[in-house]
Amino acid sequence: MTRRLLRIYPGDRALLAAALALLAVGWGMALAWAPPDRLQGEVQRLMYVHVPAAWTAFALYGVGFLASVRVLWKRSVAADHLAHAAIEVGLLFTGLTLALGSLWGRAVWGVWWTWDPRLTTTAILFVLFAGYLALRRAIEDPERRARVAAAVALVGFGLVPVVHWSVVWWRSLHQGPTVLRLDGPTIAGPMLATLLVNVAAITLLAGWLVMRRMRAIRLEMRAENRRLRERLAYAAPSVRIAPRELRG
Amino acid sequence: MASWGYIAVGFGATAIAIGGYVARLECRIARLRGRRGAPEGDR
Repeated sequence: MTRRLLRIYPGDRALLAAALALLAVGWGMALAWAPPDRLQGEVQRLMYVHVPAAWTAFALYGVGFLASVRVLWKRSVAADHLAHAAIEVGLLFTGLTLALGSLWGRAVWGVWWTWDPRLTTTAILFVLFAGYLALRRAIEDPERRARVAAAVALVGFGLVPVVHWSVVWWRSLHQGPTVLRLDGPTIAGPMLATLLVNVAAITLLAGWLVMRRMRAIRLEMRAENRRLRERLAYAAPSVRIAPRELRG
Repeated sequence: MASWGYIAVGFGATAIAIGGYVARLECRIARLRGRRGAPEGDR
């Protein structure tokens, strides 16, 4: 049934096409339509790649958090794969956020890096989730790996609100929130529209990346199980193990 | 003028990072699928 659904359901290709089309529109708006910033000038256009990368990373860590709750609660293998995929893609976008922020900082502040609360908490978030992926590689037993990784993901997600509110709680060089504010956005209309189109495009692209990564994880687990079965068959030829007992 | 240099690097780096990740992922999927000899419908 699942195989039949996968064969007829062209969801991932449609999602990729939609994401790329929206990204083309978004980047067109960012580079040619949105007005330059009154203070920063043209370089402020980096916001249209920096902010969507940051928000998408936070959303992906949120997905990782929810999936990890399910792993601990229901021992769900599918949720473990989702958490793994979402956090790996989230790490890619966190890395992009840091790199683009550094570039923007060099242009506006004159430095590539400063130990500002927003930058520092984002760097800690990056290291924490890089640790999550390293931990997954270090633990061989799939059930233990899923439980330990889920616990790390729960702790890691706790840092996301700290990153967001860091510019409010502490004195920061980084600008404060201009969109996600309790009293409404303070950003100009065309800039907000351009930003939201780019956020939607990167979110769709991230969704596609998570789907593809999950597919790769499923294939990796099957290959791992097959290797394990072969090793067991070699070590104990008389023992027969059902594939479901080896499911990762 | 220098601003557009930063912008080009920023947008270019984003495209390269995401494109590179996709290429790595698709190569891994193709390799694993080839190793398993998975049927077309199981992709």
